[in-house]
Amino acid sequence: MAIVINIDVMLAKRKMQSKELAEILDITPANLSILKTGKAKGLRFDTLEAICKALACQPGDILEYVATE
Amino acid sequence: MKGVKTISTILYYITMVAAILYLSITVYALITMLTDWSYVVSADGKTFAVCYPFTEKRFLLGENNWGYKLFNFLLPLGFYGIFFWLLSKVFGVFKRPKLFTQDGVNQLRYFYLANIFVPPITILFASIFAGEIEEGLEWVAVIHFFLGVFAYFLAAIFKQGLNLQNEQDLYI
Repeated sequence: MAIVINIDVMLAKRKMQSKELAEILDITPANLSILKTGKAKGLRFDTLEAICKALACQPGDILEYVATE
Repeated sequence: MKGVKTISTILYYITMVAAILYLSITVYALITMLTDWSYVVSADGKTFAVCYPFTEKRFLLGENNWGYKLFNFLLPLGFYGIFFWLLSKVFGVFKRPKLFTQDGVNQLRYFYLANIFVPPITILFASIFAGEIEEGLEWVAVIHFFLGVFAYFLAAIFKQGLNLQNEQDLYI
């Protein structure tokens, strides 16, 4: 997948654990892991909004496009 | 889906009871044939009767030859026990909290394979080893074949539903 979700970087900046973020987002730690490892097929806008709100960041801070050859 | 779950739960238990009954009767009939307990042969030796346990009241009747006993009596009884058991498993699929599961697809697969292949094979063996088959039995095989085809279509729908569900689960 060319779109990479860099949640770990923001988690480290905000000194927050994955488990805590999963609780705030009301998703299971397994689903958050799917998101972090790039196995997700898509990201809902309300989930993106909740991530940005929880990590006090912009979508561009966690979404990155990596061109694949 | 609440209505579907209610109906499927009721039918699950009904078909499970039917399966237990059929399989129990099959085992009981086999025991009576092997041990002569509650088992009566007619005076001319052409017919037999399986009686109710501990009674002399006739329960099941048939021709007194092993071809008939095996292919026209025990096997159909046993296979109908398996049919009702597989059917109860299919109804069980519809009463679960999650509808589309791999186990559900598997249960439908077992059901359609059994309905498509077992009746014609059984009738073939019965016609070879037991001579005449009972009138109308070939139509029973046709009905089971169409039931199997319907279950095959249902399994295909469930497989597609499972794939879509798995893909949807990856949308966070």
